[in-house]
Amino acid sequence: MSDILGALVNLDHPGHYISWGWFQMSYGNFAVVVAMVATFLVALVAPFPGRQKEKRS
Amino acid sequence: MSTTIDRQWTTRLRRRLVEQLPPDKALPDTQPSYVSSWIYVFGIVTLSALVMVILTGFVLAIRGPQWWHQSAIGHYVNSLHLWSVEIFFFAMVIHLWGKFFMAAWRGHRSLTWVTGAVTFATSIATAFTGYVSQTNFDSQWISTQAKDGINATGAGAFFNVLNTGQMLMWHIVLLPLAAVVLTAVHVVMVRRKGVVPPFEEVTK
Ligand code: HEM
Repeated sequence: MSDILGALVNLDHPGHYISWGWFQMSYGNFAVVVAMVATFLVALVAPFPGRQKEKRS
Repeated sequence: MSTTIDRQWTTRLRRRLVEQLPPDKALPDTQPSYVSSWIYVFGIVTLSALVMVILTGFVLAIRGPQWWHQSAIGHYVNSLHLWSVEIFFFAMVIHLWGKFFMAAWRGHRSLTWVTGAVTFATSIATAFTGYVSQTNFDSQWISTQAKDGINATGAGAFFNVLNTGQMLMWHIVLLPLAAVVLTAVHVVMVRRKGVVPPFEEVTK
């Protein structure tokens, strides 16, 4: 199993980094931040199951 | 005139508890309609992930390092523990952003926000002591990298990241206890105050 996963993502190399002046962050961490922002935005707009339509007065 | 029964500490404590957190507020039947949004789900996702972290942590504590390094099932439980932590932080950050933009500390809810923020800081310390308690090359690397920074703050006098036993005790006793107690206070505060109404509801 671990061989199959290992074949998908090869981690056998030094980490890759984003460098922006003094700012430095690994691609792994950057991907997590992007995923968090995306999940946050989806949570704001995605319809919630079972929610009644707002009544307009 | 107050009777002897009224003055008993059990009576006074019970009345206080019921007054502060009546049962229908502690375990409500319904929530206001604005709560039916995905953004309100992240508090409970964080809580569920925390439960998984604690349960898998118990299993790791029962079996010990040789087991989690050498056996397949040990690797599996170790992975469950790590990935539950990842989900915990992921959900907590989204929860925090949501509450920040809602200004959910409004209406005497500052203790809810503050217990949340302190839990966040405590969780970072718990994760850090977890990384240095792995007993592998990764934990050696992290602790030797961290020691100079921590010593420079002065905390090294009583918090020695090269002391595996001490770090493990912080990781499996002190910090999780603090995180769980803080989380309990946080959730009780949410129940006591009820979910904060959106800005539009307040100004109406
Ligand atoms: C162990 C970490 C945490 C857990 C388990 C947790 C759990 C919860 C739960 C279950 C709720 C109610 C449901 C919801 O609105 O999502 C809630 C509400 C809240 N949380 Fe957290 N939370 C955590 C961390 C945080 C952090 C880091 C902050 C911000 C610094 C925060 C701020 C708040 C606030 C202000 C509310 C009240 C919202 C209201 O009254 O409407 N929490 N939390």
